[in-house]
Amino acid sequence: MKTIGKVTFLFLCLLALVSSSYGKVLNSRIDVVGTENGFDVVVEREVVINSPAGKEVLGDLKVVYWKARESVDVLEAWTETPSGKVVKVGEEEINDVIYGPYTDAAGVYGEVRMLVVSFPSVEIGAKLHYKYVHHFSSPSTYTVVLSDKIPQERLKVCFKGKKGALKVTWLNASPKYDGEGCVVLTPPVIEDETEAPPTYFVYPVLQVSDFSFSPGSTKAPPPGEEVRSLAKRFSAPAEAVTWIEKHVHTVKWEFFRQDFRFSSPDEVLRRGFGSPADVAYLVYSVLKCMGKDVSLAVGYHPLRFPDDYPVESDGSVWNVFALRCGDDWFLLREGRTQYPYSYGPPFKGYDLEGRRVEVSFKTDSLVAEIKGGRGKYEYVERGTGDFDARIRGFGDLPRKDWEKFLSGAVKSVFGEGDLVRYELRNIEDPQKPAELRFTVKTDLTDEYESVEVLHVPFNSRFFGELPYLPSFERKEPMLLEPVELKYVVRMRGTGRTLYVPEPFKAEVGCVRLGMERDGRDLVYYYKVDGCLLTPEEVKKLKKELDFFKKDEHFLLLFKMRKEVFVYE
Amino acid sequence: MKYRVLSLLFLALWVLISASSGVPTEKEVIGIVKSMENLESNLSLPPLDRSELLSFAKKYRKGYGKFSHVVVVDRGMVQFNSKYQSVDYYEYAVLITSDAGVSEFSELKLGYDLNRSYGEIVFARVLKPDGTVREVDLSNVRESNPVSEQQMNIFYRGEVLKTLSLGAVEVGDVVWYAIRYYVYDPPYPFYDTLWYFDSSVPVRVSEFSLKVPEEEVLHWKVVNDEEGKVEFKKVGSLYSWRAESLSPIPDEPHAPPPIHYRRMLLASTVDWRGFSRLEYQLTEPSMKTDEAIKKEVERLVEGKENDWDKILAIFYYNAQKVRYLGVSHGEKEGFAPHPVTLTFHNQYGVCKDKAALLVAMLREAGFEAYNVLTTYDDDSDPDVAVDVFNHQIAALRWKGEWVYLDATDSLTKNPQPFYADGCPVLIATEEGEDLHWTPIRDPRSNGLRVSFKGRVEPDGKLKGTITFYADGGYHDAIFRYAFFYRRPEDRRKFVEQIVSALLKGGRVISYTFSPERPENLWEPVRLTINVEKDDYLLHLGELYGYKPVLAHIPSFWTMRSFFSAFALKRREIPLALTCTTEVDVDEEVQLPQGLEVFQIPPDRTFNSDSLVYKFLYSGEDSGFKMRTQVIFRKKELSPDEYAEARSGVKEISVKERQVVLLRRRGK
Repeated sequence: MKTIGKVTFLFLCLLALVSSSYGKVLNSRIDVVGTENGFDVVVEREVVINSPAGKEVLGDLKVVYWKARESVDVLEAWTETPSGKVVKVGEEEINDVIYGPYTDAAGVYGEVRMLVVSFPSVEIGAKLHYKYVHHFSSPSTYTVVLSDKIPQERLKVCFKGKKGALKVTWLNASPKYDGEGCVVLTPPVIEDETEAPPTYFVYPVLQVSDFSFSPGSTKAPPPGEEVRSLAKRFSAPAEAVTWIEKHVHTVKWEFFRQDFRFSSPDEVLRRGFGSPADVAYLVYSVLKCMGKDVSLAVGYHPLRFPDDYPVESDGSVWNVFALRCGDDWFLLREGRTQYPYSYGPPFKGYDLEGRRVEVSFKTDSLVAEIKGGRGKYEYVERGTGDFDARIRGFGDLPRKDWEKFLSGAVKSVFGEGDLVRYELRNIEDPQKPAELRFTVKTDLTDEYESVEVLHVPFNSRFFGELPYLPSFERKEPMLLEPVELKYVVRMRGTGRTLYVPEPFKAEVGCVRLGMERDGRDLVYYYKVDGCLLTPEEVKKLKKELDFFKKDEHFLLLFKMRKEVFVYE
Repeated sequence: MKYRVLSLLFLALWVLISASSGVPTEKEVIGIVKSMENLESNLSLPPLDRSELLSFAKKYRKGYGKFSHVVVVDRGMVQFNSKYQSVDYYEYAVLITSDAGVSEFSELKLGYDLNRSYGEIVFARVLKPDGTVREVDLSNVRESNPVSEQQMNIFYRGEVLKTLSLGAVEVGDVVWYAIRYYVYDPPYPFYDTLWYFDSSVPVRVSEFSLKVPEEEVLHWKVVNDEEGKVEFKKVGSLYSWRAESLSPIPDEPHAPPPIHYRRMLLASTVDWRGFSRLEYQLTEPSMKTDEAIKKEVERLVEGKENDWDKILAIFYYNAQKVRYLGVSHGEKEGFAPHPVTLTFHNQYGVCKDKAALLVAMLREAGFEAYNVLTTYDDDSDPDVAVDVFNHQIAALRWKGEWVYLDATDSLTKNPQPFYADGCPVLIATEEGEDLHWTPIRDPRSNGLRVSFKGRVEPDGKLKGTITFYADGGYHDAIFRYAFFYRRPEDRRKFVEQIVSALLKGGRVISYTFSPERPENLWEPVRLTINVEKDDYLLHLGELYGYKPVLAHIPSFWTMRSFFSAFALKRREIPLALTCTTEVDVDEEVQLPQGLEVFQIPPDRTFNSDSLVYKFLYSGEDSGFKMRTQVIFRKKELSPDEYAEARSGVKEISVKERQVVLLRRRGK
């Protein structure tokens, strides 16, 4: 009995610790109600504030909605102070404001608003109660991660009304319905760990939709005379792609049209601009008119969505376009063709005939080489995928700013040295790999009384690409995207070497890493095929990475024989 | 240059509390603006000569590829009336000289706040090198949400961003457009404006004209025009300024406010004292307190030993108890605070509300306090009263000096937060005040002390204690924020991240953070971490390397932004740092019997007007000590000071990677 008492006490202590965070959801209920022209979601919650930070973080209720199809009405909202006094939220405390994402894709959300309910008299121990209805007009999708960063004791979800017309999908949860069409859950608290996969990989998700998405060829208007005539001007696909990129402006403020139809390619060509979807479809149409064997697929990045994520009904995730020309698939991101001859992350989606498409692109890769000399060294970087795009990104800056940008990178990423010379190759030629090379002048040696230590430069550049693994034990899995890094240290010398690091290798889950010697080159590598690592694997990987990053790998120790130590 | 004027419109402060029922429709606003008195609703400038534009474009098409574009013409004209309503006409023609210019000028964006103004595109056209002209179809204008305004649209509820795609634009094209703004509800009863003549690209012609009502006196000034490029002309009530062939100004990161280095015009119909009086008249009606506030003040100051503690008690109450809101009440928020009784009752408000309640409570406690307009990201001129403010704080006359208090920062130990140094402040008084600046404080007031005491055990394990200590200022605030906003259960993760960065693979045995509640501003911040790491020494052939645990502290975490500011080899404009600061580091390590110090890195000290650092090592048989110190003495560095300090910063980057070399005893 005593032992049980102790366990209970410890358990209560643990609960107290958890509940001592921002706050806690005391009651929570979601009612999904089918209506004549869509559905309503009624959310009701009671939250208790437990800390000063909780007061700031939880003191406002914010509901984001898309004005074109949705509206939100607050049904009731009040604060119950610790003394039991009820202070109702006044009209002036409910504000409908612009929801402005801070990216230049803001235009996509042109009609997205946010309703902010500011609770009065919020203090520690106060309870905030609210109930609101979120109206959705067909076709619409409502997706919600049911977990929160604060604990919830009990969440009840009920479905009413025109249930048959609604497609309800659960992810990471298999709730049992009661006789009234309700389910009860206790969603776990979101751990909020770095490098965690999106919450919908791990925590319970509810998705309600009243339509199904399918690109379908019927939603893609056939090309007309103008597109056919344009196609006659090109002999190779690359010419067409380059021409379109130069002559048709891709705007970010027109998303994939809400009825999931493509604009007429002739119209896009005529007006000289179009959304990413429309430009992708124009590229496809022109290539098709050229007689090329092409497909266009609309899809998503599978590593960012779990396999069973109900993307078929979630139009918001359909923002990646893949183009097949012959046997090769290319990713068209935001309609830009900077990758067409390169590679990208994996892709899943549907082509215009409604066929499932799954493409495994080559992984992104980076090869960096340094060739050092006393006081200066040359660095060369070339890669595919994101690395290629990163180098090409210089093209978006005025040339006068290139040196400034690189100097900044040398300082902030590499930490030392002055940029002496730089060169960018092929950044405007999509058919050749982009390449960045530059020379840095720095002092690589630390001189002691009778010894000098030579530092391998730029190790932070390489390490900057590795995942950050803090020492705490994870509870969430960790998402690793495909990447391949190779870092070659080319040092030549005839000085007496007292120390050079030993080769090693390790493999954890989908990760392979290590160092090999190739003659007197040191070749460091890190390769990921793309996967979710379990917390146990993360722990193991951390151990390997700690060794990998150990400073002795980046110090080469020589005797003080400057006159005979010569770099090639 | 129009962008500045645009942002001023958005920053434009508020007139009165005039919570209306909603944002007016575009149609309603058009009706209002087209009928404003004594203003030309179709204000424009004489047409530009197309052939002149083309001939310029032809001449400059080559040789300017390193710029995104070249400004051919940048001109504006504004007319305002006795109610300070205005019509603004801006016309802009640029030659696209590189692909970067193509992406910059493929879209035209036009922002305004329907609650106060309206904007329209008059025309947009693309001149091709062959002389053909493509008129852009204005019916393709789309409305979208403004960028970066998430939860920050406190005062601009009617904000609209119109976007027009100009279609395909190519290098060599001239993009030429005109826009017109109508301001029907100006923020204050005066007119003020800024005009930037130069740009980060070459400018051929920049000109600005102002039609001033007869009865108005215009105060104006052109700054940073040592070469005398700007010509002024006044014909009747028309004031005009014009400059030609302007070289590009450097576009460098960490730049100070533009008024410190850009060639610009400042113009205003009011002086600072007048502006101060207007602000006083605007804020004072809201300052009336009631019994509840009086009682709260009595409670707060009770038992406080001295006046400063009373001030702090009232300040901390306003900063922490009264919640800061990210949204305003009503559709059209004014610059005047809500009545302090309302803020006190609701226990929330935005900056002006919290500042006003703080002022009222300080007055209630017998102190001389005022409302203050300020900005932390811009500056103004002592002679011309141009409104650059976007924030409100409080000022206190204390022992013959002004003390500034920002009640929106709930975790600043010092009422003037670290980021508020050297900022312009307009104190609202009945008699009127000139423009002042907040004091720039000593580096030590933003100081951090870090120590590590440890020992290497015979098996190579390192054990020891890291301590961070800060008492007010920059580091104090950063540590408090880090702990305050983390859930208690996440704080250990954060500590582990700190250790992970200093001691790769190191374990946190235990840690303590004081004060227990980060929001307790009466106590300094102290984070103590007990750590250990197996196999800590580097195996370097016959030798061992000991990398000081705190080696990277000078450029660690809280200091990173200071160091990354020194990336450029040289600067042409001053460097602006967040604040001054001082970091002192001490490390003391005991070695096991079998090891001895072989060689220690040489000492190094560096001393300049803006940067000081020291790396000092001392070795003994049984262990060694490392002492480092870094002081950034100035908040703003001239280009010469920058060059000198940069050589020191570079050295720090090199010195902090050094290791202490050890060997087996007797070898």
